[in-house]
Amino acid sequence: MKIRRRYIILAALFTLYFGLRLYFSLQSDYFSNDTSYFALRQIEHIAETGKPLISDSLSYGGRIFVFMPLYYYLLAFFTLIFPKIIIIKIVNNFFASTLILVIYLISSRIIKNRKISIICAVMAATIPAYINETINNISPYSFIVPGSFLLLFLFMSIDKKRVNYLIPLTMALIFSSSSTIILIFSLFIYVLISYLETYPRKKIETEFLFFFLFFFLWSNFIIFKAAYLQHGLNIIWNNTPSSLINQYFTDINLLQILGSVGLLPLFFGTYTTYNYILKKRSRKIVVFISIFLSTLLLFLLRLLPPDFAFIFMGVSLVILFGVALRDLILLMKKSKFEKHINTVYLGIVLILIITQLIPGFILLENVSKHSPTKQYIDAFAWLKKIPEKDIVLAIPEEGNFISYFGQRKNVMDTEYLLIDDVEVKYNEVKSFYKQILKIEAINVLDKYNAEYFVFSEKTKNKYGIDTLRFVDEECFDVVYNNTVIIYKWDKQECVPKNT
Amino acid sequence: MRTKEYIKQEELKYFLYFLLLFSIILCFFHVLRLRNTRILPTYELYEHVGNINLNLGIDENISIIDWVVSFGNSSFLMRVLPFVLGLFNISLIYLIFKEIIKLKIQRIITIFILILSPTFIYVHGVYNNIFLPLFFLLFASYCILKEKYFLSGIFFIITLILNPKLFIILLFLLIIFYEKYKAKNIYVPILGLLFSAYFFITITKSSAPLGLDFYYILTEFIPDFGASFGPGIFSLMLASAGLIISWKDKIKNSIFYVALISLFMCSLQERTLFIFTEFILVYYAGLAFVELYKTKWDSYLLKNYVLILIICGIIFSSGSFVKKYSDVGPSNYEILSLDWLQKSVGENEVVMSHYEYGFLLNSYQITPYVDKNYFLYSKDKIKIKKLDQIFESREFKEVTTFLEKNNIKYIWINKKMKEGQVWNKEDAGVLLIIKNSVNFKKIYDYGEVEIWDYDSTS
Repeated sequence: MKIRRRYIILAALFTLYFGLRLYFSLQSDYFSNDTSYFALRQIEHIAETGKPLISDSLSYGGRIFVFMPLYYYLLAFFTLIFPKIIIIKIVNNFFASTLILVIYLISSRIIKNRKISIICAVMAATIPAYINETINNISPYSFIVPGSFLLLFLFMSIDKKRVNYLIPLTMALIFSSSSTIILIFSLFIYVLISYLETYPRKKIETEFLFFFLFFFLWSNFIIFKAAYLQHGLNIIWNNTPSSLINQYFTDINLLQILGSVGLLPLFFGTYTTYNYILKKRSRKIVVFISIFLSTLLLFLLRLLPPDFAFIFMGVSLVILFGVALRDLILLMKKSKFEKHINTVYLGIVLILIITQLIPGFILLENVSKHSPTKQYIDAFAWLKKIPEKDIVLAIPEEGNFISYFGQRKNVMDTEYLLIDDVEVKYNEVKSFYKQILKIEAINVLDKYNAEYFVFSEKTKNKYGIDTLRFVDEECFDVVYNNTVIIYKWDKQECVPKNT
Repeated sequence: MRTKEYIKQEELKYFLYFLLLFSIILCFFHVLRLRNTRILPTYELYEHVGNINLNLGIDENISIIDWVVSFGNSSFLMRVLPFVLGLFNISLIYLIFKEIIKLKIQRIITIFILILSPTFIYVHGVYNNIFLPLFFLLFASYCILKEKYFLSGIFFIITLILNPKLFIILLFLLIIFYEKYKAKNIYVPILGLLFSAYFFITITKSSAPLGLDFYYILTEFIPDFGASFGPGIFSLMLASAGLIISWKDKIKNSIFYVALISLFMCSLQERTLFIFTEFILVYYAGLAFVELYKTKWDSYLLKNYVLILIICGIIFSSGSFVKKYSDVGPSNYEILSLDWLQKSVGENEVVMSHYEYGFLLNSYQITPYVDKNYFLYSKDKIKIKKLDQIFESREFKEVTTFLEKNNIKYIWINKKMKEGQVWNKEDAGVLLIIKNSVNFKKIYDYGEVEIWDYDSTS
């Protein structure tokens, strides 16, 4: 059987992309962010006991976790066969790399132009936000993003046969992350636009939407009920401290959006949205317009984390960019500029290389460069030497390092769900590091029963400080000093104010 | 003839299934609770326990049912009576729905959803002042449907004697029956419903907010979000779908739409009325389910999944409701502390605690500073505001003046109060004062309860 040339090109692209991701990811022995170490603890626990870690004695000095566990189960399964860190990096990157195939499938179905489809697939795979989030982290996004677009691909031409694939895929996505709510919003917007624009709609589309909605509600009620009762509507934000949420959004500007989504997709994608809502008609394209609009809306309402919003907006805009490019080529074919089509392709590819591929490549390199160093990790691993009951204070972004490498209790980490007074805790940790008065700092340590605290470059960058001004030799002993400083509070010498 | 016999047998079969389902759920409800503790659930229930324990006479502002229960083994009767009456209520509901809902499948589904609804489980699982009047009200309604007006009048009067607040339901029922059988136009009955609801809301001095705060409604009316009872989230979604579906017959249904809104507004004032709102909701939920079931779907696989998910969601709501009530207060520790406190507290000595525990304290012949009835029906709520102020206060003088003025000798504190209901920290508000002052002595500390004694002379 003769294999078609486009499949060879696609396989080569996939292999190249996967290989590159893997190469850069394996440059570091560690994962980039601390939430990966929360994931790693879950994976290890599942591999050992078959159950996720629900009741944890280390995070926040003891708490309950609630989360969608499927992705961790999936990774735990592979760790039973192969060495842990490497196989997790391989599987994670493999899932993330499938985006290139999924976008090719979608583009070739909608655009029906192989060249443009390949351009779209490459563009989607090099969206900076996507690379940043998935290359060296254990992130359900690696599975959710390709999975969600595969779901939309199947939904575009839904029929009885495709439903058989859609149902298990929907279940897998819902049990991997609650972020799939974005798909429900998108499909509702799609139904709304279809209704307003009187598109001929299949009955099965609404039926699938019902299934999706009910399954999502049912599974999320079972898993997150306690969290809802505790946090109310704040559960949308995973109980993240409001000052942190504000920080997420105030740091965002147009340049950052351009950098995360890409210049060409943003410009051409927006044009396609305008064009296909007001002028032209295409039911399939409306599916992707809906996902762009719903992500944008939820992002503007501050209901979606920026990273996640950028990834979904970016990928949907890439598809819409492909549509705009196809329309342009078709227009050129009908005009005197037909002979310049290849020049246009070349121009687009050149712009792409400059605006997306090179930054993407630099980002790939940076991700591995900015991964935690061995010295940094050693500091947390050193915590194993302190008594098991002792609690360690660090910035929330280092909490999971304490739990994973040090196997000691932390005051705070980035898993905020089901934590009482998270705002107070967050602000007190912040004020601790910015403190001038020793007695106030001691009071914070005393409140959380913490005897040790960590001071790293990350802490300096986060709070804009060079030194801890409240530290003196009388009350605090340096017990570890190698890139990261770990202090021990001398309880005998310095007692808190209320005692 | 044979077909008729077969239909009768089928009906009887379903009727028995419903009784069995109801019995199983209620048995689960009680068994789960009894496995944890023998103490009767909910703090509100102790309003009745107080009445029963005091052996008040029939004329002393005590409900007839409480008076009757006071003659027997009250703890046993308080569990069994609602259950037995529940079986009768199911039978009556079945007969009424048989008259109203002609489609068999819709009838079955509607009753199934009703039996599984947390409200229905609550009314027949926890002793309250609604399960018995409900029986007579249902009987009266059935009599009207069978055109036995005299008998129905008698049962309506009994209902009113048992629970005078149900006059509003009686009015609603009469207006609805009038609209269905006698009225020439729809406007008079609708205006009648609205006026009745307005009248009820005006004369009820409840503290509930009249404004429709979304979060308040979510947490106070939906058990899945923390309410003590109400419709499950899936039944509610189904009911909403039913209301949308019924819109094509909006003129015919308009009286029910208005009744639903009016009843809901009344339920905001008097929570127990929600059972009647629930009757309308389950009717529409049943309608939606049947519509989903009857409609031809392109994919049978999706149809089956959706229907299974809805049923699972309904069962899940009732399951988690039953589970929740197995752990609900009061706890063994709280009862032990009150047994102990009862012996120490002198005449005219008042105990300060959160208003939620007022009935519980009262049932042990301990005078609380304030109880839930005061919270619900007091117009100015001065005592509640003052109590909140004292709980948050760190002014020694302010606290002691308040205690002396109100003759408060003891402060009863449980775990819930210290975990967010009143305070969030160990030394928040008045806790700091009582821990650091010689005038306050911790005289009881066992399990989840602390009792502090205030002595002004120390």
